[in-house]
Amino acid sequence: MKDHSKNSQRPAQPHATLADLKDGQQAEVSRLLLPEDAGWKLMEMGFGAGRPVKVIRRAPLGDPLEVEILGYRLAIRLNEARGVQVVRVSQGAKP
Amino acid sequence: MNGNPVFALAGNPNSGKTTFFNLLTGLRQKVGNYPGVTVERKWGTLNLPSVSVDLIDLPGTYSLSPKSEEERIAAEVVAGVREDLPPLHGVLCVVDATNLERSLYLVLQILDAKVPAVVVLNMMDEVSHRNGSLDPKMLSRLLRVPVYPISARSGEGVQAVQVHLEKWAKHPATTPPQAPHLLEGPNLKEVQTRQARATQISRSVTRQGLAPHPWTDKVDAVVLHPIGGSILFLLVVLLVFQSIFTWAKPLMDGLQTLISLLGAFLSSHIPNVLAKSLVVDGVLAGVGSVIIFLPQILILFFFIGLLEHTGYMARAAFVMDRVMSRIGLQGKSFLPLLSSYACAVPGIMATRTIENRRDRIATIFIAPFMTCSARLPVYTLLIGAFVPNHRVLGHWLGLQAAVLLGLYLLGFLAAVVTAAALKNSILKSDPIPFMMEIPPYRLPTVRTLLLLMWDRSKVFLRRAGTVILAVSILLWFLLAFPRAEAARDIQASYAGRIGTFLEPAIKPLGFDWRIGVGLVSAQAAREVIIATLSTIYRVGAPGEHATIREAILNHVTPLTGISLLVWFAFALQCTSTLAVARRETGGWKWPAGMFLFMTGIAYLSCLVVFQAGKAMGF
Repeated sequence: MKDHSKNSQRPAQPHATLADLKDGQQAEVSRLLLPEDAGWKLMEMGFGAGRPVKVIRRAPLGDPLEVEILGYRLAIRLNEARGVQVVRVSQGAKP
Repeated sequence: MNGNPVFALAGNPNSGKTTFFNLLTGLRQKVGNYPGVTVERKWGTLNLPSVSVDLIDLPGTYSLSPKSEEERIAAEVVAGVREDLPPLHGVLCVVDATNLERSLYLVLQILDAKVPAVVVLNMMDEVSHRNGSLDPKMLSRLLRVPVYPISARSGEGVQAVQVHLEKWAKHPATTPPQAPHLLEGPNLKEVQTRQARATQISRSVTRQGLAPHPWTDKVDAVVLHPIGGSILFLLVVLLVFQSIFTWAKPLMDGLQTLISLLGAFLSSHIPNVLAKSLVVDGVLAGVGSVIIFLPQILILFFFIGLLEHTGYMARAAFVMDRVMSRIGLQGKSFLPLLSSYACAVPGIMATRTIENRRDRIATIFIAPFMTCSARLPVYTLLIGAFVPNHRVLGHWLGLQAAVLLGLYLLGFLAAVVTAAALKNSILKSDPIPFMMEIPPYRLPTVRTLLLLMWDRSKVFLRRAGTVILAVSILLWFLLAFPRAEAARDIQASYAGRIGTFLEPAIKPLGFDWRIGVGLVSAQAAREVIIATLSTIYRVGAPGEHATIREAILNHVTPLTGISLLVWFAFALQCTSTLAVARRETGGWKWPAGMFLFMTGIAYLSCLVVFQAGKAMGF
């Protein structure tokens, strides 16, 4: 997911987060590494382990992200998106 | 609170809960605040054929685990532990049928607490438009409560809910819902189990999944396009701004004319001089100067309702969030602040769309720094009198316009700095960060828009009829008493004495007792200072100046004029703003802080300007 042109020396990142997904890419939520209340809130809004999540687009200035989960969409700032670990990232980029 | 059985409406944001509430209660609504908090308290009465019931529209939440103020209030009402409310008869869970899996989480939480409830499955029309199919009977079997499929937009199915409510209301409340454990924080196991159940139930009742919303993606491709979206956003902002500034003007002028006519009529029909003065110079002038803002309120809230309920507001907030987060605010702060350029009162009322309490209070706090239209008469008078209209920047910009622009900028900068300071100190990082649902585009019902406009005007007019009325009468009294003989000597009046008393404190700013009286009277509304100074300088009296501009030029030095401009850029000289801030923040703490802070900034700035100016020989 990372830009290959730079940091090619660096080992592959062990955990991708929601913030790493490109527009149109889908993945599965694995873990929430967030302050308690923010974590609970995201959880209650549907961010449970194993649930598919998709990045629809970024705001014109790159932050926040519009993501789709459970068939609805919400805006989430990069700061929180970085705390949502994901696995099984789909290869599909922009539709 | 009239002994009717009370039911609460619970549901997620954007579930159509408010549309449903409006449909049932119409004009029989009361909107207020829960004591001490910024959460809106909506209460309404539904008259059924044989019984009347009261409905509480709870704040929209995704869960009842208390993390935010909204969740805590909703949980307390559902749990039946609020002292200020009668016990609940039951809960209507309003569910967005197009978002079943997520919505079921809250429903299960309420049912798990053994609170008597029914499920109102809203937006069934959209489900079928999107070629989906749900089985409400199956849902009812799995949840073991009645389920009513409806469309709050068209009213379809609502009759059945009313019939159910009527029967339910006549049964004595089985066991008054008492579920204090709802108020405990969430626990992981419980949350996960509930989520798994929601998924399972949602799968079992979904006969046919929903097709994607038909035009949301197409519209968003434009609305959220980096370039197209920004242009559209600017156009929308311009339209709203233009409408509250210029479209409202003819209506406001019309109202002004009506008020003047009424004044003339009353003047000629009240024989007693004192009574006439009280009614015309006191009440009508004071209340009238506020009532003329009604068209702005109506137009602004028409647009806010439209933008909010179509789903555009969420997109605008999405686009603006990055910029606003730089000063510690969020995307939804943008429109209230913009509206405050017309008037801080509707601007502060518009902050209700911001769910996050701290962001909302910070937005309310800085709103009065935006250059409102009540400052304009004062600015134009003083600039016209003291600033020569040289050309700057070639032929493009006159010096007067440049100064006016500078004053706008001054307020804006003060707002930005204050917001950043607030969010780095007393309103520091909220535990709940910005997360916002972006709903599909939907058309709001006319009823919803009209009720919003009606409610906001009611709030506004009630204030004009209470706080403003009282302040106007008080100011009139201070200016008119004690009755001087022959020539009205203002300095001998109570207001004059206050001005004289204030003079030592405001002398270092370049203000004499006359301006002191003006500032005291301008506390009702900023532009009132013009009328007061006209009275004090005896404008139009034989042998005196013909216009207020001449009088000002003669009585006030240019440096004092500049100092006065700076004063009006910062000072919170507006009782309406204080009153609405009290109402929206649920207490006097924040408005008092705003008043002291802004007036303090004004005092220090004027002190610097005047003393520096004097030192430089102006």
